[in-house]
Amino acid sequence: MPNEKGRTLVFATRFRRTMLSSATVAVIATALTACGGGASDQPVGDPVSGGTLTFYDPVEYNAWKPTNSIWSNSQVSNNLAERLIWQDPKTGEYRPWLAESYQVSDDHLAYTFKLKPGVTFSDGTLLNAEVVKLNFDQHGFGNEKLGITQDPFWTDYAGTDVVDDQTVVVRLAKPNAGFIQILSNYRASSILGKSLLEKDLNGQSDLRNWVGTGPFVVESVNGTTGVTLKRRDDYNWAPDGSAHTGKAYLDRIVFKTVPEAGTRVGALQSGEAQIARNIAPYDEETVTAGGGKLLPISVQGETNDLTVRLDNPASPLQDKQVRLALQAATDRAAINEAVLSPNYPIPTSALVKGTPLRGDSSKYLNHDLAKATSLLDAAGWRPGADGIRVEDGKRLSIHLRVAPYYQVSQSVLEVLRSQWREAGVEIKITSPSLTEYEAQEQTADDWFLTQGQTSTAEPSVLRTSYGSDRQDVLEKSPADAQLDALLAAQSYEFDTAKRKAAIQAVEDRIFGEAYSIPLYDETQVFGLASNVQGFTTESTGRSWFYDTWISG
Amino acid sequence: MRTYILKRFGQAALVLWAAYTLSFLLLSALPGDAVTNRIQNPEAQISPEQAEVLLQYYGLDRPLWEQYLTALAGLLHGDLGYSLTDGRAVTELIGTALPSTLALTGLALAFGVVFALVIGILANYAPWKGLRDFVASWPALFGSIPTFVVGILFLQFFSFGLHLIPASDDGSFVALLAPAITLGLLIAAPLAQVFLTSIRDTRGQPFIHVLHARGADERYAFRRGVLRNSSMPVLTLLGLSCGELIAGAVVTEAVFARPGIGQLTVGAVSTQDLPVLQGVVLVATVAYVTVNLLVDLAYPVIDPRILLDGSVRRIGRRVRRPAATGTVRDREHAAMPDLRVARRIPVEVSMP
Repeated sequence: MPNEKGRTLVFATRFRRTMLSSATVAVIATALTACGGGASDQPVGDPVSGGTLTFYDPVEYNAWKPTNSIWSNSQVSNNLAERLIWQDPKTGEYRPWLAESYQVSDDHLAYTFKLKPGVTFSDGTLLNAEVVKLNFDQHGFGNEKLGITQDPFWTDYAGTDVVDDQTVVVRLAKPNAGFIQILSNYRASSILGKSLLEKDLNGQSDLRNWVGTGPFVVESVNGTTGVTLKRRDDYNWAPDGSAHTGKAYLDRIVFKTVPEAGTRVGALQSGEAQIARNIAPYDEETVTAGGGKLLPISVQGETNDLTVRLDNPASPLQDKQVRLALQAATDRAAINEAVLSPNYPIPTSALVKGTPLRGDSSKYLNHDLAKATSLLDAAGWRPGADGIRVEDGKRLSIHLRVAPYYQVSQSVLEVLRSQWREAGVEIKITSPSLTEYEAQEQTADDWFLTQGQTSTAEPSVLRTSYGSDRQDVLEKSPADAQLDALLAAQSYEFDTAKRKAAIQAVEDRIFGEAYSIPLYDETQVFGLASNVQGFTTESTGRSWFYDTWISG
Repeated sequence: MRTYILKRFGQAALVLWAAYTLSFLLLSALPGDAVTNRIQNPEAQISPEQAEVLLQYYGLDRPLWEQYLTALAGLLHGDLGYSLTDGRAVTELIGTALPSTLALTGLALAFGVVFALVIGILANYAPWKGLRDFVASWPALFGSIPTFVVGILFLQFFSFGLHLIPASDDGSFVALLAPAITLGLLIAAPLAQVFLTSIRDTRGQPFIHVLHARGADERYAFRRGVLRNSSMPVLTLLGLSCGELIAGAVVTEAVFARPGIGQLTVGAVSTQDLPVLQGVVLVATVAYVTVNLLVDLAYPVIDPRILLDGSVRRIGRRVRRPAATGTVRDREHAAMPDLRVARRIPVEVSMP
């Protein structure tokens, strides 16, 4: 989550999220009881049409091309562009959106979509099969001439066939249970207009050129710090799960970059802004005391964790016993108590609360200091003069860099430092700037743990992170073949119950080897003025203003 | 006078080129750049082959000297290239941000000068010694409070408390007042400090005593002698405070969420957006050079001796003399007071 350094300069930050090939069930299992993600604000009374809503965001806007942007931009652009499929953030179910129906071939290699008739882009052009193909081809193949890179979400893309004006067939080279989720996801599958796709990367990155089918359109862009959207009055193709049909309620939405946390909270109280994103845990009470509401939204996908990195053979974490000891020395409840708030769920799995098909790994995640010390003793690490454990003259000291992408990183790591110290492990914390952080990630040889997470409302996000052919966060050589096999297996599993078991098997492997030390469930906390009704987000915390209205 | 102006213009152009080149080299020497950062960001998920596509698109795969020459050639055509993080033309980004910053710094400069004048005069001419000393301690106080503290206090009282001013820029003049006063205080502190000591020094000069001996009152002496003589160091400092203004604008704009050059800079620095930073350096340099050029050109207007032979004597050591005399006197004569009384001494204060 974007961090803010109110002390000095506020750095634009990026959300570390990716939504790679993920896998869900093509055939919806209504038996799924996933919920919690994408909570929404329960409206009171009858919706009122009209009015302007002001939304304060801490991060400056970057280029807008969805595959080459930052997460915070999508708070705005998710309201401009739509997908063929809509994923219900509460249940994880898929419903029609720009496609009124779809079929999957028996070999899971061809997806046939029937487009909703009468859908138009903001420039008046019709949504047809040709435009959809153009979109998917740019994702799947990229376009070197225009500077458009191939989208990693679209691995194994074989092409799109236009059957007739309203029918397309998307073909894959390999089956992927998570493909429908990809098609429902903003970053990977937003359908944009032809005139935009013909522009080069810089042209597509300019929001003023955007042509989408969404309920709002761009009215004006103010440098890198402000955007005003206005309602589209002829809009009438909202996703099935919406609270109403026809056009949106709000006349206008004004987005503005306000880096200073105190200013955002103050503006919420004075009525200058109706929604502020990224309310810090210590500001939560100020918001509620001032009559505002808090809307915490679990960002579905991985928990925010410390992932072990094993590229350096000299790392003390090469020893599995040491990793298990650190897991046991971590007290997540105490972290939550000290620097977070009840709005941040305490991790019990590798996946955030609310992510579909998430496993239960709470048995691996208990705080047990006695276990930690005995494991370290057995591994040969004995307490030294200053209480920090030593083996062969080497201190058990770990350098952690505060990830610049999350707001609460630093305070969480500081609490962790005191917890691990009780077990005789030293943490050294530094907070490099974004560019330094990314440079050190490439070159530092004392990078043993990486803080962060990847988000997708789909359990195969684990494959995205851990797969040695994907992000390969472990950088283990040779790669953990067993883990790779388990990760691949769940991608080809189309039966819900079996897939759930396959995900649990992946988690058992991850925590059995203690590859990941979860810290907290990634959560977006929005502050809402008391008159904001019906504000919702999609499954990973991106605003969706279609059902939002302002009561008088 | 013409050679003087030409020389100053030549220097200004040289400073511009040097600043552009130096910043290009320094920024290029830093590890990473905006595109590489984007590629390395885990969020981007870009494979090495695809990274090549991006680097080629932005022309970052070429040797450094080629990039520099292209940038310089573009600069001469008024083209500053495209932002690596935003994709828009740098000229456009700066064009949208500049008016807001100019309004802020312009008003802040006006406030700063007014504050400095008031403090300088009060600290020297206020009726009670206690009051004079109290006012004289203000510059040190405001010079040591960080800008953002002043800004946050402003917001706390006037925006969140009294709801008098909006907490972030809404384009209105009222929204401009608080940040401009904040920034004005920042630059007023050194100006006031210099101005008040400068007035104090000048008032101790023999020619002022003579003025008084001739019966001129404080107001007359201030207008005819003190003001002009004590404003030179302030003018010099005003040129330098232009840099303070630009630096202070960065912080002030962040606190008051004003979309200006400051906010653009913060964003560009954190993402290492070289073309934008180059553009900002250029704009800042132009501003700095322009202000200092104006200050240089204003010197001779205030002190005609500067044009004589380039040897300027210490300000404050001088004696009023008619500007028309074309020669500099010998040093031993310089200390001798020029007893000629300025014109237009009121009749009632002539000798009894």
